[in-house]
Amino acid sequence: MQTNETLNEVITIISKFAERREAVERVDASTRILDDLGVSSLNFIDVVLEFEEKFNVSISDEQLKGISTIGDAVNAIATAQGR
Amino acid sequence: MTRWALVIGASSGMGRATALKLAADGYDILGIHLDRRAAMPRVDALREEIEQMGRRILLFNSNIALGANRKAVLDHIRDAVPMSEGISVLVHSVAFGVTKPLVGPGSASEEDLTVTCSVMGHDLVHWVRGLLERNLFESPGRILAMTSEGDRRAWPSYGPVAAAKCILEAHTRQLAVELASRKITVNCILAGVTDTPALRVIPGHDELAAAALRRNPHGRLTTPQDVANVVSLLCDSRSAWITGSVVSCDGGESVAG
Repeated sequence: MQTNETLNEVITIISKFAERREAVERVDASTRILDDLGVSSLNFIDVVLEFEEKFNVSISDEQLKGISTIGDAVNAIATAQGR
Repeated sequence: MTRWALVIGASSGMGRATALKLAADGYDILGIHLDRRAAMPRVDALREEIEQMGRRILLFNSNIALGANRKAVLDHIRDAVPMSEGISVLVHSVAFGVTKPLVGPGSASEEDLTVTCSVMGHDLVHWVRGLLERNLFESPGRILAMTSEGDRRAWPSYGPVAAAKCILEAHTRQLAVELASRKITVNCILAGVTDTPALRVIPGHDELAAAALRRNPHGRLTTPQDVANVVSLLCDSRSAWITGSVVSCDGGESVAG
């Protein structure tokens, strides 16, 4: 899967959990998942579980700690895919 | 008679040891956990170990911090447990909280405090109610929840969890009184500092463990097996008069000078 496709899938997954719908329309790589999109800390683990399922990857604890923005998520998935 | 034990937090630490001990005691196990892919081999190993004992085990990988998920799991459990059987033990061993200071840089947000108190405190009540509403809880029964010495000591960054533990203990007392007529005992187990994955996310956990080791009169830390043994003890029929209590399981660590 190319980076743009990954980005679009990441946004689709995160959108399901985003409280700030208007912010979803304007996302880019620097958009913060919790602070800007209003994904609750309770839901964040579900976001990561969906990443693992959708992209067939295993995201490590270290990678998890580094995911703050949409761009971080895309990079973590790419790393987990060995790209 | 078939007995089921529901262990929330079954895949690691005290919950895992408890699931294994209760299976060895003859319980079939309902286990709830929240694990990413990397941890699934350990979850599979737990399942195999319990099945090799000749016991049934049903595992639910779900973020039960969310009410909708909790209700869905309860409904799955209701559908999975035969009508003639029920749950006689509930063990609440959940570590899903925030460890941050209460003031200053990097301090816990309002949401951090609310979520931690909800998932590690009030959650016990939600599960008890959910089981009772579905007529799943047997009589006599046992409810055990895990607390810590953080309920009375101000460990660094432990504030949100400390509050949750106090909530858990208060609910334990209240539930003990309200469920007495059903012969369901409700107790907290206060384990000494125990080396588990949950401990290792606490900032300064190395020093916490080192200080506990210096205090502990047995010269070692509490293990998940120690905790599981006390769960087993408190599930024995002879423990029926122990309820509403916080039972220490720490080798004397909390009273040592």
